[in-house]
Amino acid sequence: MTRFARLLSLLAAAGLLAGCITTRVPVAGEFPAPVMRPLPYAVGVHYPQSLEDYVHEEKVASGRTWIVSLGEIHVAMFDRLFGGMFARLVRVEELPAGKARGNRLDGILEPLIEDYQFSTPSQTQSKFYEVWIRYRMTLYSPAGKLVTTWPLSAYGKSRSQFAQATDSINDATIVAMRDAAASLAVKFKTEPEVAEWFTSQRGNGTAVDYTEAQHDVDTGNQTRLRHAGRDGRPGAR
Amino acid sequence: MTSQVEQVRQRAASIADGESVVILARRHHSGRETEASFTECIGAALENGEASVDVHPEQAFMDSLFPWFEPRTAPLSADTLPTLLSEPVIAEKLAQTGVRYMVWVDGATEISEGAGSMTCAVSPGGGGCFGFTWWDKNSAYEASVWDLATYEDVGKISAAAQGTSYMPAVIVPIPLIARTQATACKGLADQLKDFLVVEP
Repeated sequence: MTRFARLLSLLAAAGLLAGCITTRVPVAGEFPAPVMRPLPYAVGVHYPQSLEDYVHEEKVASGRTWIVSLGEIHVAMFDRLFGGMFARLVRVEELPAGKARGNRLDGILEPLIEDYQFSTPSQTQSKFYEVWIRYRMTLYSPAGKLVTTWPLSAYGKSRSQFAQATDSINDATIVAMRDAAASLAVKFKTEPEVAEWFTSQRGNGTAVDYTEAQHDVDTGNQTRLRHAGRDGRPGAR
Repeated sequence: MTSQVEQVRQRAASIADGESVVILARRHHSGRETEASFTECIGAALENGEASVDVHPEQAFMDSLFPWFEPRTAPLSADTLPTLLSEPVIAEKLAQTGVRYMVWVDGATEISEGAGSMTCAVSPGGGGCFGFTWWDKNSAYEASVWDLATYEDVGKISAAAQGTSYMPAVIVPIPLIARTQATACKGLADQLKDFLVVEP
C-alpha cells in the first residue's frame, strides 16, 4: 500500500470513528439558595422516578450521539430551591393514598421534565450551544388529589469553546436550570390556582399529617418522608 | 483600527473606601450575549493601575442575590430598583456585598464573513498554506451605571472599535488580528474610572 493510500484509509477511519462517537454529559453544577422570605407553608416535594432517572439521548447530524443525564442534578436543584422558598420542605417519596399523622403539609409539589432539547453551533450557525427544557409542575393536595398543573419553560445558552463541547452543553443546561428556578421562585405566588389553594389551606384543617420514617435530607430544615400509598400514585382525598 | 468612546453623565458619582462596583453582562438577548471575557477585562482594568476600584465578582454577586439578577429577572432600568430593594431580605443581602455601583454592560464583538482565499494542503512529504484572507471586526458596547444608594441611573458610557484582521500565508499562516475588543475594553474601563471619581 502506498503512503497516499495509507493516509486516505486513516482519514476514512477517522471519519467513521467521528461518526460513532458517544458523548456522555452527567450534568453537574451548583445552585444558590433563593434570597427571599420563605412562604409560610409546609410543602412536600415528590420526585417521580421519571425525573430522577431522566436521560436525554440524541444523535445529531454529524453522527455523534449525546447522552445527557439530568435526573440527579434536578433533584439537587429543586431541593435547594424549594428549601429556600418554603418555611418547611418535606421529601415525600411516594404520593399518599391513606391517612397519616405527625407532620402537617399544605400541599405536595411534583416537578417533571417533559422535554429537553439542545442545539450546537454547527446546527444554528451561531457561537452558542443552546438548551431548552420544558417542565410540568403539579400541585397535589396533601392527600394526593390534583389541585393544578402548569408548564414551565427554561432556556440557557453557553458560548462555544474550542474542543469543549461537553462543558458547553453542561453549562448551557445549568443556565437553563437556573432560568427555571428563577422563574419558579419569582412567579410561584402569581399562579392563580396555586395562590388560591395555599390561601385556602390556612386554618381550614384539611392539611394531612405525616409521621412515618422521617429523617433529614441535604439541609437541616428539610425532612424526607416515606408514606406508601396503595400503588404509589395520587389518591383521592 | 478606529475607536470612539462617549460618555453621558447624568449625575455626579463617587466611590468611597469599602465600596465596590459589580460589572454585569446583559444576557437577555437570544441572538447575542456580552462576552464574559469582556466583563472580566473591564473588571481587571478597574482593579489595576492608578485610581483602582474594587470590583465584586459577577458570578458571586448573581449567586448571592439569586434569583433577582438572572437574565429573565434582572431589572432593565434603575426605576425598578426601589421596588426590588423594598424587600428587606434582598436589601440586606445587597448591603452585605458592599456594592455601591452596578455597571450593566451590553454589546458584543461581531466578525464579518471576510474575503480572500487560502489553500492548505498536506502530503506525506509535508504541508503548508498559501493565500491571503481578511475580515472585519466590530466591537460595540454600552455600559449603564446605576447607583444603588440613590437608585438612580447616573450615566452611560459607550465604546466602539472597528478594525480589519489579516492572515497572509506562505507555507505558514500568520494572523494579524485587530484587537477591537481589547481596545473597547480599555476605552470603557478608563472612562469608568474617570466616571467614578475616587475620593482621596
